[in-house]
Amino acid sequence: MSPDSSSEADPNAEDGLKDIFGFLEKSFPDGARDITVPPELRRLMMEFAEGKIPASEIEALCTQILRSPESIRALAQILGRV
Amino acid sequence: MIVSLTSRGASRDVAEDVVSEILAECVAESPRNLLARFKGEGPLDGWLLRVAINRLISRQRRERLMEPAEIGEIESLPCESMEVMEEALQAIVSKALREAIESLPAEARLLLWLRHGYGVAQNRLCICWCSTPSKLSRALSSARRIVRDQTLRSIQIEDPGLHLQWQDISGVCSNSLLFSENRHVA
Repeated sequence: MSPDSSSEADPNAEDGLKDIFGFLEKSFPDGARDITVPPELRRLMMEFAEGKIPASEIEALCTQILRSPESIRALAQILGRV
Repeated sequence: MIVSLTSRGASRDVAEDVVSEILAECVAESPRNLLARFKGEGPLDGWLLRVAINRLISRQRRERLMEPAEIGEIESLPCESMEVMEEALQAIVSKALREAIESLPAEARLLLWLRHGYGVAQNRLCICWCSTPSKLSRALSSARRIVRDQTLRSIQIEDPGLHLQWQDISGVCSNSLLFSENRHVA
């Protein structure tokens, strides 16, 4: 095993993570890109992007966003990506 | 390339065999031509190295599966073709990665997706989470460490003979031979 694979390896090494998440993103089911994000969720995501969601509510919002790939993409878009 | 393969447990003969196989496919006629699958994302030598490592992993898995088989049974083994072996490897890696990411709390999972899946800048994420760069960095580091360790542990449990390194996982994921854009996983 290489040093990188040990538990003492530098956890900040980001090599390959883009490939891994890129792969996982591509593996989302077909059609997921076309589903519309509910307006209420989109509004919450806009507030989240502006830092207006209270810390106690962030976990619940993250759970909601993670329920669908298109929500994650929509948030990434709001944050200036995709 | 041979040195990289031998450092992953291949004998000199096997490493040379894999490299020869790949070189032969580089000059083969279509549709067997390997270079036709290169999409130009990154340097060619790095891509060829990933292909070689994945071939080696597939070969090592195939050999382990065949070990207990009688000679007469080898012909009927379901994993005899390289393609089937690569798909089996794909399934193991994919399952382990997904389970590792799913094991994270929602906040950490979304952080990883936004930072590494979509390349959202860390300072933008600091605004969302009302956090400082150092706190966010620690959260990301912790999440990455969990995903890496959990993924490698799951693979080890699923196939104890498969000694993948973390860079192999990313190499497998970026290898278009294994994970084409048109192929979806369960």
